[in-house]
Amino acid sequence: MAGINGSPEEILRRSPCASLEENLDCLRAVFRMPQNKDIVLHRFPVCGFGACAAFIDGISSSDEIAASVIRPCVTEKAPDENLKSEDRLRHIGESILYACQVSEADTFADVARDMLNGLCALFADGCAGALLIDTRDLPHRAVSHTNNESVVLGSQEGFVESLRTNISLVRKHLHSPALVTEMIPVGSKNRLNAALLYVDGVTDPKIVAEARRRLRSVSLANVSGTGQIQQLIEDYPFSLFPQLLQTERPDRTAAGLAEGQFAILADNSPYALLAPSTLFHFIHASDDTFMRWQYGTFIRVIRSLGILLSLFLPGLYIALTQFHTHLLPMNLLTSIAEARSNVPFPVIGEILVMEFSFFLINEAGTRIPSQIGSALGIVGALILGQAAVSASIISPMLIIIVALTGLGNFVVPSYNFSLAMELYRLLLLLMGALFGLYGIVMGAILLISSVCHLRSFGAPYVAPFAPWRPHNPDLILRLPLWLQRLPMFYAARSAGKERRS
Amino acid sequence: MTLFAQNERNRSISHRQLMQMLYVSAGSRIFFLLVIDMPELNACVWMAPLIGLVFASPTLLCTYALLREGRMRLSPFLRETVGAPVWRAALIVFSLAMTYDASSLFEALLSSAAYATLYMTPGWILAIPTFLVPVIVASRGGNSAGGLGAVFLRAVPLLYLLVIVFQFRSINLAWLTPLFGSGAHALVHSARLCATYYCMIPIGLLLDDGENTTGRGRAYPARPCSFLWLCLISAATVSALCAIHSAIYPTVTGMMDTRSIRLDLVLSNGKSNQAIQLPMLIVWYGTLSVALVFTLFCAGRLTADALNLPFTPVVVAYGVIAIVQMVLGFAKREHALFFTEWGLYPFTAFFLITLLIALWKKKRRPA
Repeated sequence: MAGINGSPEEILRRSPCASLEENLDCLRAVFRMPQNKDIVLHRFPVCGFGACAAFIDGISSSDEIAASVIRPCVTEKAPDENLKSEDRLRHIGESILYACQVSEADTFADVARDMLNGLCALFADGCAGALLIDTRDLPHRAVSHTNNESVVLGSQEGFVESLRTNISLVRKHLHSPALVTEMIPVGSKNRLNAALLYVDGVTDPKIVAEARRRLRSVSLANVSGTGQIQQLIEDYPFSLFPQLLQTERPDRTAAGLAEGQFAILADNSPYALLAPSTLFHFIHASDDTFMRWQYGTFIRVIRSLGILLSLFLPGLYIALTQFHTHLLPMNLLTSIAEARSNVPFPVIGEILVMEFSFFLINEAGTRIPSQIGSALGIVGALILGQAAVSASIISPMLIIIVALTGLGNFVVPSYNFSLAMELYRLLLLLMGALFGLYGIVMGAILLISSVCHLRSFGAPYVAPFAPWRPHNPDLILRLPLWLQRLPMFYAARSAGKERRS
Repeated sequence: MTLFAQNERNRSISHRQLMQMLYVSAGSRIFFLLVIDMPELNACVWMAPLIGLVFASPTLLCTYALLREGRMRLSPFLRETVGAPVWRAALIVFSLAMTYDASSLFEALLSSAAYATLYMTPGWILAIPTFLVPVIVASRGGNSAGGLGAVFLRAVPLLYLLVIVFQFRSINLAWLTPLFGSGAHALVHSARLCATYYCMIPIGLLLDDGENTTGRGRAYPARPCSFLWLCLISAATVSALCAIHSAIYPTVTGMMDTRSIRLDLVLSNGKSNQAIQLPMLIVWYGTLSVALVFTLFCAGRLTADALNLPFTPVVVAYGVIAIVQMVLGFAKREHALFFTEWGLYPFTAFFLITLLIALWKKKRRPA
């Protein structure tokens, strides 16, 4: 490295030169060798001149490199005609290598980026430039069941942490040559590999252009996954409700793409982001469509009631027991009064303690090691439930209220949306505690207005309900599939003709 | 994007949502009139919305004609016809009328909120959501206000159906007759009030700029007769439904500050079925809130359009003005109506003259 001038950042901007030694010295500087031990620089002869394969051990396949790069190069005889030095890399790429994907690198930044993605860089002495050969073998999890979006009927596959695998899963579900995959690196320093997927002719080009613009304008130095991308590109970052749907299901992603949404996939994230997303996307589950329409409709109605229960039940309980006792039948009122007779805390205190306990159990259930996971059931059910009632800290009626509320929360297919509902539930609880039913109504008005105000990449959040847009009978009631012929309101205009035909 | 920029983009309201807000606003006032304000005249005042429609029909027909001449863009057509200064002045007058209406609605909402909390909550704390929530909702734009109206309009028939079902035993069809029992004076007075409520429709149509509406989003058929029939049937249905079941005893006179007493009578265990009280409360508060959001949104949009001002600060300003009006006692003077009874005539005259000018200009224009 004695002859190399400049910092690694400056070297990245340079192009590979004709001198093999100089190129290798640049690589050593960029990758901080010899401290970095997993960078391999393997020299070998090709047709009488020297070459070097550079790759990162562990994310490039050594076997693949040996079989498709080194072996064919070493066994290749020198060409009969004299090969010009500047044509050496072209000759190797076109005539010698057994690899399917070979590209050229313009700068050391391209070389470094692709080596970090598992590609092998090939330099030839006397020839400026470098070849990049696809020899990826990044470790990743095998495709398996989804963790957070389980369904009874339908595909059981879920996304994994490999972008390539995820794209292939989507292609498996959506057989369309119009499915476009644009690779867009995200982040200013450590660029995350991300892909923008859409169906040409179905997704509105303006929405695609806006998505592309937002992804390219992310200025954060390190972006590590779709969760962060979502926060950086959504329309209303201060709203409690998510505006992009996060899903770990390829079938759901493919269905969204077919309806005119775009999807964002990224390395190291087993989730896709779908947009534009409306309120109804967050309360629909994948298997609603896989069931017969009668069952799908019934399940959706149950889910909608569960959501309403989860939002309003605690607030209504406190409003009715504190301010509007005359609205309760006498038997029920007596029963509540008897149950609460020994409880020293006000109703609002009881509810907040139970809600907090419920949140703690939820969070602990996510973090607890599986070996002691069973202890959580004992803590939750016995100690926080039974023991608290026996000690007259809380009333038995409240256990039922909180349990129903929790169940109502868990029926929401989208985790982000369920968290938003939990926060709004607390607001409605406080409004009910302060102002009774009046507070609940005002809180509900504020909630409805907050939801109606939102947009997701230009699409109103509660559309096609408000504002009204032509739509299929598939919002709350899921009517038969043969009645659903209209395109989604956010799809491209040409999608309408294709859908109806 | 800043909050104001978001709201500026969202100021447009779709045609369908606008009409839904108008139904709720006009319907709520008719409800107040029939069930709360003049229950002692229940036997015949249910005719008032129908006769009021007759009084308001010149205004509504003129408006419809202007809509057709202006290709469903009422405000730009008015501006083109009468000129920018007169157009601006008219919009600002309408905004101020809406603000007066908003102050009455604030008063009604605050009084009934005090009832709901049984005075357990101090008044100044109660005032916070009463003032903040409608102003926030209105200032967020057309989708926010219109979405609220759309949701409420779908929920309220179900809730009111519960009220009617549980009050089934007290339904008395005889209360629909005699049609003119309480005398011409009472009937004409009520009908003129209803006519002013209908005048909210032309003012609301000034907000329709078409930007938030798809081609298939317009709710109205082309012919004005169909529109009038729709209003007639809606008004007859609502008023008859209100008249035939007894939510309260007709013993209290129609004074503004006794609305909370009337609410108590509607909701107490003494007369009405316990099961209707929860839906009735929700209908009551929801209707008042939606009507209030609409008046604030309308006032803010009209002034913002007239003077080319940013939308959100204007709505907030009108909210503050309405609250000040309420505190100063102006709101207690009359019922929640957006014009006084005589306001119908200059309003009708304005639209009629505008129509005549438009037709005259059309005639003068070379073919």
